Amino acid sequence: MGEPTTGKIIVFSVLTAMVIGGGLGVVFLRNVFHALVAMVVCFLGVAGVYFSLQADFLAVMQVLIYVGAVAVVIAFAVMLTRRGTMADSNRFVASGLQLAIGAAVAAGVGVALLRLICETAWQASGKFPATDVTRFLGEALLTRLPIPFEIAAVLLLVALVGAVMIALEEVHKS
Amino acid sequence: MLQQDYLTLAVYPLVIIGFSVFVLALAWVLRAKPPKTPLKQSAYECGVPTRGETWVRFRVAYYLYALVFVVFDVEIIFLYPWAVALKRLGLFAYIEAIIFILILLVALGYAWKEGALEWK
Repeated sequence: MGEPTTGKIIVFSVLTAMVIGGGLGVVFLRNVFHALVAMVVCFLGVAGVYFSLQADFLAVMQVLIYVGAVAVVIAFAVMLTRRGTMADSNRFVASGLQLAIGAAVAAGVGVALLRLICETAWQASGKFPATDVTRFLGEALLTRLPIPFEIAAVLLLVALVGAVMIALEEVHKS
Repeated sequence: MLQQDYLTLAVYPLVIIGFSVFVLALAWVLRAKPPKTPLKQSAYECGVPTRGETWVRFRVAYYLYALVFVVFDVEIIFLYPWAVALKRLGLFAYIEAIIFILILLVALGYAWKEGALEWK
C-alpha cells in the first residue's frame, strides 16, 4: 500500500465523513424513511472503504447486498408497517433516555474494539498481496468447491420458497 | 486492479454530482425570483391541492416482489466471480453455473406457480 499520499488522505476523509454522517443520520433523523436514505449513504461509504483497501469483491458485495437488497427490504418494511405521521416516525430521536443508553452501548463497543485492536500483536504476512481476488474466488468456487456452490443455490431456493409461502399467507389474509 | 482504475471510477460520481449541482445552480441563477405569495405557491394549472397525507401505505403484495428480488440479488453475488473466472475454467464451470441457475429457476417457477408474480 505504501505511504499515505494526499489523494489517499482525501479519499479516506470523504469516505469516513460518509460513514459517520450516514450513521448519525440514521440515529437523529426524525423521518424513518430519511434515516433509511442516510443508512444507504453509510453503506456506500463502507463500500468505498473496501474499494480503497483493494477488496473489490467485498465492495461490490456491499453495494449489491446492502445498498441493493437490504435497503430495498427495509424500505418496503417501512412503507408497509407505517403508523402515525411519517415526519415523526423515528420514535427514538425524542427520547433522551434511549439516546443515552444507545450512546453508552456504542461507546462500550467502541472502547472494547479499540482495546482489541491495540492489544493484538498483528503479524505482517510475508506473502505478496493477492491481486484479482474475484477471479481467484471464482476459480476456487468452481474447481475446488463445486458442491458448496450448488448448495448455495439450494439454500437460495429454500429461502425463496419459504419467503413466498409466509408472505402469500399474509397477502391472502389482507 | 490498480489504484489508477479506482481514480477512473471516482471520476464518475464526481462528474454526476458536479453536473447536478451545476444545473441546479444555473437554474437558480437564471430564474426570476418573485415574492412567495400564497397564490404563487399554489399548484399551477394541472395540479390539485393534496388532501390528507402524501405518504401512503404500500400494498402488502409489493413485499413479495422485494423478497424475490433479494434472492436473485444474492444469486448475482455467486455468478459474479464465475463470470470473471469463466474464460480460464472452460466447459465444466459453465455446466456448474447452468445447474446453479436451473436450481434457482425452480424457485422462480415455484413463485410463479403460487401466483406471487401476479398482481391482484
